[in-house]
Amino acid sequence: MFWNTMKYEIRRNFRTKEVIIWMILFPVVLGTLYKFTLGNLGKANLYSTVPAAVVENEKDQLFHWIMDAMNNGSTTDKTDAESSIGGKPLMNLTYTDEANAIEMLKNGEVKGIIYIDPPDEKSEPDPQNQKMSEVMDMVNRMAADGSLAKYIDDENNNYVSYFMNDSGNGNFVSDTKLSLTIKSNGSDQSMLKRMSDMYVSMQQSSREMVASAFNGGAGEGFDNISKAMSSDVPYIKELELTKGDTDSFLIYMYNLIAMVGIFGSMSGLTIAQNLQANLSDQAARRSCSGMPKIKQVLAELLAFYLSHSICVIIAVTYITLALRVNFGDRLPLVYLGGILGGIMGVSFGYFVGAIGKMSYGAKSGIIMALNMTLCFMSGLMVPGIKAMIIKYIPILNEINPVAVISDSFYYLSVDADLTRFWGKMVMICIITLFFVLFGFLMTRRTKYASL
Amino acid sequence: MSNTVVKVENLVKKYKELTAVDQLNLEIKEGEVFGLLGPNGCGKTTTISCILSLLAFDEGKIEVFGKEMTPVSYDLKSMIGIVPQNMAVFDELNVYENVDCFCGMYIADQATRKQYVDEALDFVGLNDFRKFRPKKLSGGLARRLNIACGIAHKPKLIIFDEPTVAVDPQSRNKILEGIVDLNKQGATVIYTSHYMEEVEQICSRIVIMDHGKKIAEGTSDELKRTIKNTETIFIEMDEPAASLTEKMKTLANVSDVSWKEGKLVIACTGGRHNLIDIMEILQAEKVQFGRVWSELPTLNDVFLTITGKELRD
Ligand SMILES: Nc1ncnc2c1ncn2[C@@H]1O[C@H](COP(=O)(O)OP(=O)(O)OP(=O)(O)O)[C@@H](O)[C@H]1O
Ligand SMILES: [Mg+2]
Repeated sequence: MFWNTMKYEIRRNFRTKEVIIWMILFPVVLGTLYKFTLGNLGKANLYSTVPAAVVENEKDQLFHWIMDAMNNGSTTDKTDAESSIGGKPLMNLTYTDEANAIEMLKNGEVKGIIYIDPPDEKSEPDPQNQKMSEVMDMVNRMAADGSLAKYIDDENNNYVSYFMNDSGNGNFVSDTKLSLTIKSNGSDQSMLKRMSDMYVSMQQSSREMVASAFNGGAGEGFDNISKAMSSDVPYIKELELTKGDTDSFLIYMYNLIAMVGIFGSMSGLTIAQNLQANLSDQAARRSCSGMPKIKQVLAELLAFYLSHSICVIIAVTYITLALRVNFGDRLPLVYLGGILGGIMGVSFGYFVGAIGKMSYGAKSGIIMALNMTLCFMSGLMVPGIKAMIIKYIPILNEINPVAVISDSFYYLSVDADLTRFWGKMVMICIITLFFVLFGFLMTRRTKYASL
Repeated sequence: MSNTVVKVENLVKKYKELTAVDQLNLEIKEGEVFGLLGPNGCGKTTTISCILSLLAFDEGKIEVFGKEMTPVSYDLKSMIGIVPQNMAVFDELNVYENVDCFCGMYIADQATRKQYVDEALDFVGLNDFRKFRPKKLSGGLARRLNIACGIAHKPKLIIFDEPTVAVDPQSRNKILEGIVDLNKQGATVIYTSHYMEEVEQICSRIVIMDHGKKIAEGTSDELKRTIKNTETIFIEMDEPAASLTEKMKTLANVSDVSWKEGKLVIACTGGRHNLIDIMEILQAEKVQFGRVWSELPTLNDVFLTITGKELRD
């Protein structure tokens, strides 16, 4: 009973588009981008920001998202001033029309123009994106009534803005054509060239990955993803990267892994959906079965923990093996931190999902908003907030799941002595226990006033 | 006397102001195909959810297999199979996996389960579609998957909540035949529907519900006997003279004569040869007429007589 239920939950997870995209594709794509843009730049503060114009003949949210992530959101503005790293954007993009862009290029205001053109033939809209767009509509509505507004204003906030902008057309994998115009050759121009080449190849491989994952049918999706991933490796090797495992670069990678952990909350949200008769027909059917509720809860939690851990392991393994990022002898701890962080993320989602009888869309909106708030409070968006919180309400920083994960990785990268790291690991376990306990108290119930 | 499988006593379920089920009493015996018939919104699904202990109810008592049903009555639950009104399968799993997934919540032994799942797929005729995801199945096939998921573990009591909604007549008949087969194999069946034909076709006993209340109970024949009309005769003709209708009304078994939409409608309350008497009058009066036919009462007439409205809108 128990193992069978778990087995199918894991299978379902790896056949869920959102899981593949956010837990596997996202770290792989973004990690690769980091590697190619930061990995061989040497010390992060040695490069200068390259100004470029973007002419969007076709809206491409993937581009916005990747560029935003590259240039803003993932910097590590550690407010305790322990690091002098990060902060500086790679590119300064101006989105404008063609005439103006050419003018700017002539004047030397920008080093190049990136054109985004419509794809050659319009592909069919993917019905699998439908559900996600509904969720995004919900987020949009929250934005409209102002509940999300303060975060959206913040340009540093990459994934909300990605969601916000992407909701309408809802294509995770874009089909646009990218071209680059530069005036003369120089190091800045070659940097631009590398960026846009990277983007095109990422676009291509991510499209293939999603396509193979979803056309593969039973059980094959996962294999295809890993195949697609390993087939990427030769390409990466070809470029002969110069060695450049700088601190700043490592921190980007650490933050990426932390982010995957937090994304666990999005998949954890479905746990309650799978368990509570008043939330889904499938759960109602399960509630009628002879399998005790506590067993169902445990099977569900374990299945999600395991699936998410696999995603984290894929991400970390990809980063170390394919991208050749050297975590040194801390590698086992990177795995540990990632997995525990992911388990906490999943439990967080479970806890939020168990609250009240709201639609899945509404809860997705809430979890997004909560994640944003927590990121905000942990100083990932606006430097200074964290210092203020540490000064006035220190406990908040101790129990903020996002801060706990990101701090633990930060300690892993800068501390010689791991006491602080282990302290955070213990905290992660405590927070996880809290979420699971209260989540269980809420999902334990088996009789409802209304279905 | 056969055993009582489900006993519902004075069940009251309120959703805020609305009383969805009102002082309902049901007793379902072992081996029956029990029909719960009623129009949309009369409280069928609510009753089923209360029996399954999914819904908290306000008053009453529910026993299944002689024991009080509670959310933790896992021993009772494992003997029940449920085919819910809404499709309740996982889109990410294929047909075989779905049935195996739900069957696995009852049957731990792998070999037995494999056999049960195969049998269930055979039974609903989905063998050729094992690898299909639910979204790729037609409406009727998807319904059959919904059924397979509910019956694979060979439950003693199977509850079907409108399993034929949105199913074409052919598939519908297959489903109904399947339900009769399951009953023959020993399962007690509760079948809810708002299609009176279906209920008439397969149910050995029927309860008719309206506005959460039981308004009639019995076998199909018993129910029809409760109403006065035993036969309605239709005659296609032009509007008759008043004298003709008066003359027909004097016949012993004729309770009412009216003319509407180009036909004369004659309600009879008994007797066997009403048609002959009526034809004699028509010939004596030398009235021109077209087709003539007679209809036996349906459960709709029963419903109409009791509530004054049609079962179907
Ligand atoms: N969750 C709910 N909250 C409030 N009212 C509800 C809820 N579920 C059902 N009702 C109301 O309770 C009454 C009975 O609903 P129920 O679903 O039991 O009807 P039904 O007989 O199964 O109808 P159908 O043939 O359409 O399935 C209806 O008036 C319905 O509007
Ligand atoms: Mg119903």
